[in-house]
Amino acid sequence: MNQPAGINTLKQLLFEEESKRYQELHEKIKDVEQKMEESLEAQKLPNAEINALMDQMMEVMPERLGPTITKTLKVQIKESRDDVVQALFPIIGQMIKKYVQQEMAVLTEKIDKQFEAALSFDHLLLRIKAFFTGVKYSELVLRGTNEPQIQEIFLIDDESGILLASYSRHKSIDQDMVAGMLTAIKAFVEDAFESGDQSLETINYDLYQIYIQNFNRFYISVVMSGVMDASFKSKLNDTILQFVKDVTIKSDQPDQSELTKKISQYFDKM
Amino acid sequence: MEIVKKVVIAGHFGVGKTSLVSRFVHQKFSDQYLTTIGVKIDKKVIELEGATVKMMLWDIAGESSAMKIPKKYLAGAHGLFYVFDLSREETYRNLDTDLFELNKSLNGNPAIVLGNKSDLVEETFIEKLHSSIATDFKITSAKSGENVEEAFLQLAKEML
Repeated sequence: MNQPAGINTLKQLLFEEESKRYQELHEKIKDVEQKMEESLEAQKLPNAEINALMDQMMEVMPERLGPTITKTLKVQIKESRDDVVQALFPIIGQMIKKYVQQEMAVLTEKIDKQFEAALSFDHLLLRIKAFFTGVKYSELVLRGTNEPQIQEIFLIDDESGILLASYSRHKSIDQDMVAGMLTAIKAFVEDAFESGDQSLETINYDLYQIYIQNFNRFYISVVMSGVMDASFKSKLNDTILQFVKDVTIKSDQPDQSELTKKISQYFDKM
Repeated sequence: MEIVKKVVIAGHFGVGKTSLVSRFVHQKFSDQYLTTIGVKIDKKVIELEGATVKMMLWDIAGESSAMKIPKKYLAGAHGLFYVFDLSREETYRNLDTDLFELNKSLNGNPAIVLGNKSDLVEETFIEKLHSSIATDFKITSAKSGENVEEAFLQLAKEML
């Protein structure tokens, strides 16, 4: 805005001192502003350094502190085992539950597939087989999912527990000692439950089953994997009876290799 | 020729039966079976007089009387060790009765009596015991190994 020259001269005369002080104040404010900016800039530097240090620490930490942390954790777990078990139990329980559910789902799926294919030629054959053999159709379908397989056979003297002959798909443990322990377990169960003339017939463990067929002076023990259904049991019994009928078994020092050969002949085809 | 023999090892609690077996064989099954079903099986193969003898050792859990041993554990035994503790009188007080009972299941097969823990008693005490006990016994020490191997070999010979 343009003002008359007289007014400006008057202003200069009246406010000369104020104008000077205003100018000084303005300079001071500018000064303070500049100093603040400089200070902020200066603050930025240490932050960057700290960030760099933090990054470095994060990088080195697993290597440097890892063993110490693991050691400490081990000691802590050892000293408060109950607490750890209590804390882990629900988690593991859930995991097992989940696993079982998953496995059940897989089995259901397998069975579903079998039923879905029920009209296929194979299943038509199964139905015909079921009709003629008297074995349930569902049993035949289930058999397809987990077929029984003979893993080992032991022919054992009933009294002494001495192994007379054996047959095995994969020899792993001392068979003489297994025969002895089986006889001891059998004797223990029969004695503990005062079963009189009755004898132990089966032992189940995990996915395996030990089927025992007793005779006068000896017994035959068959270790199997898979699910033993009624028809397989019947077939197994028939084979065992046929074997005992055909082969002479002398309890007192039998010819082990000859007997083992015979067992293979009879049970290999099963 | 291979021969398999069942050998039963019986006697009171804590007389050293399992230790004697441990001295003689390299054990494969855990001792826990002893407390679980009252018996543990071990095996020792020895060469004797041109034959291979497989000794199946039935180490039976200690009982205060032979009457208490399940008969099925003794059935079919070809030989027996009856072990007592030389330092504990109660373990051989009824020696004759116990042996009479055990012999019923042996059908004339050999039995050897072992006085174990010889390292805990004086020689003079053993001599006195020999003259006071009618039954003949062999002294052993599972700790030092004294006579252990010899006892098992003697029984193996008697069983052949």
